Amino acid sequence: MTIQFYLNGELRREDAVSPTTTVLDYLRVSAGKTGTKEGCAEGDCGACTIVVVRKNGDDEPLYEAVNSCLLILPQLDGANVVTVEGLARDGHFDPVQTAMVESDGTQCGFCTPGFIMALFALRQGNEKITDGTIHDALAGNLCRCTGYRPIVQAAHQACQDATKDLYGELSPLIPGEGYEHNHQKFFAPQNLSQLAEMRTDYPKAMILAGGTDLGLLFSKDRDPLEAIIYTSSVAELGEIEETKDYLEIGAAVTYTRILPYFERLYPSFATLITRIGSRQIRNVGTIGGNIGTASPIGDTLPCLIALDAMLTLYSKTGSRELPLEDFFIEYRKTDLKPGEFIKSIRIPKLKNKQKFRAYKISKRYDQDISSVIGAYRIEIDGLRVKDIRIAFGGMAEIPKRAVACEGAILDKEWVEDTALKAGLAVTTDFKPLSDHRASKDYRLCVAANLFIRLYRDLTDAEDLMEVVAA
Amino acid sequence: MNEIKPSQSIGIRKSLVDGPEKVSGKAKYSSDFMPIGCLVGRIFRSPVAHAEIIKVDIEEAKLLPGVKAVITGDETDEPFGILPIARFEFPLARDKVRYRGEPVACVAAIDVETAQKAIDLIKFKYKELPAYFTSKDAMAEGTVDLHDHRPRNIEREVDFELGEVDKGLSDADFVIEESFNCAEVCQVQSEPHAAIAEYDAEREFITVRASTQVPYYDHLMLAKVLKMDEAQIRVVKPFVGGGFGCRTESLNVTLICALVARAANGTVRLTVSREETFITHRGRPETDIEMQIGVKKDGTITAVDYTAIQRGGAYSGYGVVTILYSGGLLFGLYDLTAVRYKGFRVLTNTPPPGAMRGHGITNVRYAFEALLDKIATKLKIDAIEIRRKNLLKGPNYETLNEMFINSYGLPECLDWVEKESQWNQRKGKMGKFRGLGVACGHYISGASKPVNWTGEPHATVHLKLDWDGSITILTGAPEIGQGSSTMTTQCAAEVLGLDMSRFQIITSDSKLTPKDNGSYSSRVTYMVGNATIDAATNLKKILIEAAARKLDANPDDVECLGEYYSAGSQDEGLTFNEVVTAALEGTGTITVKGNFDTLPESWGTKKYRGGAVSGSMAYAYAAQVVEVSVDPDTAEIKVERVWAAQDVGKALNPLSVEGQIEGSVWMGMGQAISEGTLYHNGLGITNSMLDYRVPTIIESPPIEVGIIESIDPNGPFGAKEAGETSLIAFIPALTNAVADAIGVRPTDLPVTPDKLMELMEKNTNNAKSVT
Ligand SMILES: Cc1cc2nc3c(=O)[nH]c(=O)nc-3n(C[C@H](O)[C@H](O)[C@H](O)COP(=O)(O)OP(=O)(O)OC[C@H]3O[C@@H](n4cnc5c(N)ncnc54)[C@H](O)[C@@H]3O)c2cc1C
Ligand code: FES
Ligand code: FES
Repeated sequence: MTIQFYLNGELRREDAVSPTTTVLDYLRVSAGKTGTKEGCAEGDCGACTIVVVRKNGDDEPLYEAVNSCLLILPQLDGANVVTVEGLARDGHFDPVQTAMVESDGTQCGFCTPGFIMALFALRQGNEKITDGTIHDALAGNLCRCTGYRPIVQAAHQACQDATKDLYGELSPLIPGEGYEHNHQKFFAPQNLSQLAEMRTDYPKAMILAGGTDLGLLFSKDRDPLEAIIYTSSVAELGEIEETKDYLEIGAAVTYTRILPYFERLYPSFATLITRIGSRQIRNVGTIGGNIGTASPIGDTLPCLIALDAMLTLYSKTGSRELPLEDFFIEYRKTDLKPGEFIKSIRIPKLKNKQKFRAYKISKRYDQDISSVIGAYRIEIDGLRVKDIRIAFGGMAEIPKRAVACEGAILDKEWVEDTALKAGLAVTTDFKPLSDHRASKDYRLCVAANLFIRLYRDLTDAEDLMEVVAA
Repeated sequence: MNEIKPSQSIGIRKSLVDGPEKVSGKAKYSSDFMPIGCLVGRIFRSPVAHAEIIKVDIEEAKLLPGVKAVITGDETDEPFGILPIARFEFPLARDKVRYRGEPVACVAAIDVETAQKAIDLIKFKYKELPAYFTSKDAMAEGTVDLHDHRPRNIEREVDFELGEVDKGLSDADFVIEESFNCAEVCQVQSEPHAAIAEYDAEREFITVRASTQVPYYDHLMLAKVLKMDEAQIRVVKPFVGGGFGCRTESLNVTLICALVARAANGTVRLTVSREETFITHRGRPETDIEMQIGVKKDGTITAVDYTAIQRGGAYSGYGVVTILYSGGLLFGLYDLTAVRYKGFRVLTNTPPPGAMRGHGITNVRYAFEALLDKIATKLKIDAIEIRRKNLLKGPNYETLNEMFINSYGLPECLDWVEKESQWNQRKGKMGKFRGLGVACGHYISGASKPVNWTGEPHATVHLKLDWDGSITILTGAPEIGQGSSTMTTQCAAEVLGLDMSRFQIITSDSKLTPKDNGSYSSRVTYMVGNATIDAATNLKKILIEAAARKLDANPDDVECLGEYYSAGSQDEGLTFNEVVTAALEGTGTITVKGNFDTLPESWGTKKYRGGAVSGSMAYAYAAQVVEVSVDPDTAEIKVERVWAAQDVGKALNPLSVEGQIEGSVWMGMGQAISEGTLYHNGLGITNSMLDYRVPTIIESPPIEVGIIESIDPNGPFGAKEAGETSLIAFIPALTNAVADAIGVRPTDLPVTPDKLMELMEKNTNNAKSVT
């Protein structure tokens, strides 16, 4: 069995590499492409950013920046990969490279290849280029020298050049169904029944979706796992279904793919999604993985609970449905049974008067783990609150409903006093812990204050942040 | 013929000469060297914070197939350290381990998996000792000393009084005091530490490439710990991914790499992880400051009295210098007539900090500027006015500790930020939860006395001119991203009137380039820039003389126009290449050199022990205004805008100067609002980029840069420091703005939301209890 992919337009076939080799190590050590750098090996710095070109439904190329430190080589099977060495053509730099030199967007240069690749992906996309989209595209790249302004300037300059890159014209390769090397197995099932089969046959095998949580096992711990089941090529797990009542998302759908749906259906959730990690993370990370990790600070979990989402769990013996809030049992322990996996998650659409809000509190805006996440689905009829679902993350060992807070709001008038009272109920619902992300008191205080924010958000209260303009 | 003019390079926006290599991925950093057969090194680190070593059993590890060498503290009994007076750290621990993560053994193996397996086979037996993680605990009565020769764990105590402090305080109309705590911070430069060492047993020769800011100090320390002749060592600095001070002394990573390469009799690459880079540390120490300032009603400062305690980690490093800077560099910004300083550098069971950007003065300046702001509020004096009130009566000013200030652009910096931020129109009228704050800072342009005094000039640069008409600049100055290679090229090109494309530059290879002390304390532009000007001037003289010979003219009559030399208007003149040919006739390839030395009057004071430390040829000045908003629900601070003015003497390259100032502001912002290390029983719990939290691009505020040019009389084309001063000014400007926004003044850094929330809560509760 071989892994085959394009690297800077050149076809590569690998059959003698351990499947748990990270793409970064492969590029630097085996392929001699040392332009791609290792700054952290944890997905935090972006120095290892490369671009994977794939085709969308309309056969148009999509350029996605990803962190090569968190990917393992078999995940590239069939891919079209571009590294910094592949950008210059016929002795000419890509406009991104030229702009980075001219604007002084590089000082020590160690972060630079990563920035160049993130910008290359941005330049090849169809987004409108604003400071906002540039920030979004570069949130996963840390530069310690420049303070970023010159890089933003370089981005504006480079993106004015609309010449299309040629890598998008390569015809896609057909990925294989797996890979094996020295007793290490990597399965890439193509459909649901194959996946269910393997899940039963290899109960100890690790399920791998995007690998943004699991990747650390390979990049840091260098764990030579014996068997991995990769879900990305399972057709059913990649489906998105929208009906008039709900949105159903396959477990292997990436954040990037689902984002446009959320922007339309749950804008506040979409904003929160854009703060999960970085583009590099969202291009491979999945909601299924977020649920599978079952972290008390998984960002999507309180949102999905507040939205009353329903899981479909699947195994060889059939499927079952479970409200997401019942899936989490205790710290990082779920109701997943042997042989089972997450197939999809179904989110009801918001009804007429329902509103949804989600707030993420973290020490940094991007690339940070939350200290508190609050999510609210509320239906206000006239002045009265007809329906309310609230869930918090970061306040208990699992993501959890705030029952007392809900009680303080349901059937009450939606006035500031109600919000204040709901805030007071936070201490009944939660006994959070202190850690290095936030103290217990801060968590309680912020969770309470978020009700005021919610109130202001849903009512046009005067803006507290009035400014005398400069 | 068009009018011929010499090409100009100084004062012009020039992109980096090594930019193309960086954007193409071709630039090679230490970990990018992977010659065939190269072994991989991996370090075994102490799992405890303080212990006596009983045994490091490496027998099993050594027997593992694929393992080529395993070494321990037995490998060398020579300690290393940047300061000759404080060398007691070993590359691999001997007798004791003193912080969690201290290197204990190192493996060289054929690949990383084998190396890791060998590490897992090492058995470390030890007897734990009491460990101290705070300065207070380490200094307490009855503690176990980390080092026998440092009783009570005090590495250095500094105590001086210049002027009459008690009188100053009693003459004051107000005396205000405050305590501050500044968390330990790290550089988090983007490249983790790495080295590759190639040992040649037959020649008894070793070549070491390392991520370093100080190849020369590495060279000295390599010779010391390897016990090899200096001449048998070659140190090369490849591209380096930033430093900000964490690489201004030899790091154990480099020394261990060389030791294990020799033991394995081969080539070893040792690249450490981000976590290990945090552990290697050399950042800014946690500092506790208590400060009193006395002022007259009009805001004139009468005296300053303060104490600084630094948690110095397990070894000295630059520690003694840091604690001295914290005293000496209080001077030179404002006119101070009486200062008392007590400093304690304490040894603790944490990784050793070092000389981070804004070395020694950043935290003290923060305390001073915050307190001055508090005083201004109390006295109802405008915060900019109180600073104006206390300006130096200079330039041509001598401070109490005998620092000579020859250029002083601080007044202009203050004017600039006042005007550009519309301070007078907006201060105090920002509305709820918005605020403006101002602060100042200054920093040296290289220490006038190097840590390793040899009597040689401070900087030497060679220029090699060859038959092909190209000029190669040979300098030991380590380019680490600050743009020193571009700066040197600009200086040489300007003097010779040539385009920069005529020049190539080779840096930091001990067998090719002249020795240089390194990239630290903002010395390179000032010292190496001046040495380059000297070298280029010498070369120009040779070229003019050659042209004169060829043209049969008097050298005084020959005009150098860069690409063209002429002796009067009716003369045909000579092209540069013709002049080169003439110059090489009879002598062959020409190498000239240029030197720079500091003036004795800049060598600092003898009034107290260690007073030489703050002496510099020139000081750069900064004033900053910061605008913030504070979220009332979450206490998150947002930096809305920054106005940063810095007197850089002369902006040799405005593009780089802006980059340095913006980078400084931004790094200061990290220290002010989000960065800080945390330890749990000595275990670093913020040793990743996720948990340490440097600001990302979103937090990057709009920064208006004001370049003030005071033209320093001794600087290269008038230039001085540009890469540190603005960091220092940012931090207090931010906290002053926060105080303006919410009416309470944070004292501890970083000002994280949980700390600020607590302050805000207290404040509202106090307000409630009053009404
Ligand atoms: C730099 C960085 C930043 C991050 N920022 C955030 C953040 O802001 N907010 C946040 O919430 N998370 C964050 N994460 C964590 C991570 O990105 C998310 O949890 C992501 O959703 C995981 O998805 P994945 O597809 O990569 O999961 P993987 O790593 O592939 O898998 C995660 C877990 O889910 C299991 N799993 C995956 N699919 C299934 C399935 N179909 N059935 C059963 N089990 C399954 C896996 O076995 C594994 O245990 C960050 C991670 C990194 C590296
Ligand atoms: S190396 Fe830092 S994100 Fe991959
Ligand atoms: S240029 Fe040095 S980290 Fe970005």
